[in-house]
Amino acid sequence: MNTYKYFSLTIFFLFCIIAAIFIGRYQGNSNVWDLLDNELLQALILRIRLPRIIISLLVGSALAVSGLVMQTIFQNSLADPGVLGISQAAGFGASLGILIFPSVAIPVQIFAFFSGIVSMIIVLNLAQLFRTSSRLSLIFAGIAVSAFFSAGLGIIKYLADPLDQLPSIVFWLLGSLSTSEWSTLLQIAPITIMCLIILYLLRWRINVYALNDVVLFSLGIKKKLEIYLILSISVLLTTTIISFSGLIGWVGLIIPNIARLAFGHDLRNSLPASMYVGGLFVLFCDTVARASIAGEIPLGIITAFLGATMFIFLMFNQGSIA
Amino acid sequence: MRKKMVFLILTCLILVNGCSKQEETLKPVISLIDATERKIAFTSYPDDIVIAGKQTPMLANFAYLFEGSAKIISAIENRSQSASEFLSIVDKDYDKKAILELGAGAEQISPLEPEAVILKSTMKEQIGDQLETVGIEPVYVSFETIDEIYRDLEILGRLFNDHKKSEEVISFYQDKKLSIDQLVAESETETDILVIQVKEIGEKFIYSVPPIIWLQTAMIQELKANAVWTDDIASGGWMEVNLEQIFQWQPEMIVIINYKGKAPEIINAIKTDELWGSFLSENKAEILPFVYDFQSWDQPDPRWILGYANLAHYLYRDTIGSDIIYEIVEEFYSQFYGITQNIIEDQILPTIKSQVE
Repeated sequence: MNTYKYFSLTIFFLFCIIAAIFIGRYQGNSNVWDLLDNELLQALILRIRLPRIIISLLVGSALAVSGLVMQTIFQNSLADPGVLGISQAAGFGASLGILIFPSVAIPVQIFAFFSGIVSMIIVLNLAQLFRTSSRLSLIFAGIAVSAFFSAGLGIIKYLADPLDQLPSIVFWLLGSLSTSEWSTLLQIAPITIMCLIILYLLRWRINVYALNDVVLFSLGIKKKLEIYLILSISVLLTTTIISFSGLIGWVGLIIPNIARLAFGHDLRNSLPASMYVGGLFVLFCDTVARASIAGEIPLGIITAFLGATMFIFLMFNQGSIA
Repeated sequence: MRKKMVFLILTCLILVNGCSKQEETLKPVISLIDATERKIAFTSYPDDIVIAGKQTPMLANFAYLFEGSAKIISAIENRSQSASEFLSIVDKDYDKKAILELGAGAEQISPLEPEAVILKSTMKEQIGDQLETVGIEPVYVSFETIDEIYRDLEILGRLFNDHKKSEEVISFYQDKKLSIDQLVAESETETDILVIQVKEIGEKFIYSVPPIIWLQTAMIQELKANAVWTDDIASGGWMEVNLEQIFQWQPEMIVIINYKGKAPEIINAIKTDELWGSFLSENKAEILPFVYDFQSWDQPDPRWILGYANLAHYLYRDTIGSDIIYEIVEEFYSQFYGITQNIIEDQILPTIKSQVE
């Protein structure tokens, strides 16, 4: 049954990629014959659309897998990278980068990346201090750290030049893939693919953490160390993506729930399914962002709109999230 | 009883007399209606004015058109380094002025005890209303369209008690615009033009177009060219667009705005880019810089007329030569800012010529 589902999903996945190649603002809805005749269209597809399509697939897969891993470990269908304060920390770091180095892209990404990592270290250390179960304490620590970085972000937005820096910060916070090029892909692909492969290989092991603490203890599993290791990989994956793309919400929350609904709770199936569905979701949203109107629509707005709609639909029709 | 009545009547008479004298002394010497249509009256000519809020460099540039303003303006909010570079040339004591920190509100402004604060009308809720509550008079201006520039110059003229100057500046703008428009009227071609702001982020460029109602678009429409983006972009602020959209518009002329004065460098980088190169050669499109001297000429600033001449020259080279721009530049800077011919020829014109030619 799952083989048939995967086959259908793969066919649909390839169809969407090919369709996205031919959709764009330049000679919108162009066909193969246009492509053969028009050198500029060929160059646009090769240098602008293709890297952006691949990046959108990577972004979607990475955020969805990261969300799935966190939801499994925290045994909470509403967990996502935002729960550990990673998104807020990366947002704070990127905004700080824009404030200090307004014209340089790399420090913005470095600031976002390290802020995400720092937030995870703080969360893990804080969680040690709480006297509750390790999973619950991680969520508590995540909420506290998230609030801390949100406040920091508010201060930066207040200090930013409203004409120059503030629009850049707001645009980054809303997420966009508009600067995607092959060089960008080279920057993010190695870490992203490596993390995805590790999590894919460990998917059977992550399944174990869906069991409760007593069962894990009786099985003799050193959960704390392994949980932290897997969470670290997940955080690395998320910060690598959002340091480039900005904050893209809802993917890590809604896609794992859809994947679980279609492929079951077993991560051996739901993790690759999350990669597929997450990739497709962001590909669709980004195609709308770049091609639906003359201006670039921030990607985060579209993912939030569609994500929230899907969330409500799932709640009413399946009750799966609840 | 009679004594008491007499005393009461006398007291009333004294009070009424006192009040009428008070009214006489409070008779306003300046009364104006600002950009938010507020009636403002000053009982004496303000000799301590602060410029605050958004777009203070442009507001300061407008204020400095009035000769006495340099002494009257006591503080300016720090918004742009390039603005202070220009005003330091115009006003030797500019460095002595108090510089308000970015985003300064009533708490920072009120200790200076100014008699008036010049603000953009969009800053009413953020700063203006607070100032009013502490008894400081905000004077709102807008300076967003050509008509608003004329109206707001009159407001500043009244505020700085130099109405003659505001009339002189408005007349200068109207004359120059009319002479350009008359030359343009003879032309029958309608160029497809794209005016686009390019921001550098690392080695990448972010492209944005202005909305229809802004001065950049209005100038193109006044010059009878076709602003290619106006059918697709309606309102809001700068709208980011991607390369595909730029190529889809197929402009014959692209004018690059960069608020850090790097338009020529950006144009060089664009010309060497393979994708841009194939578009420019395929469409035989020109790519040119919007001139930047101390500030970019596309903005609602006193230099807007220079920007108008700049665009007119790009669009109608056969009828409007670059010499017309240089003449307006010389006249503008010497007549309104008192900049000497030496500074104009040595510092300002070479920068402009390197971009126009």
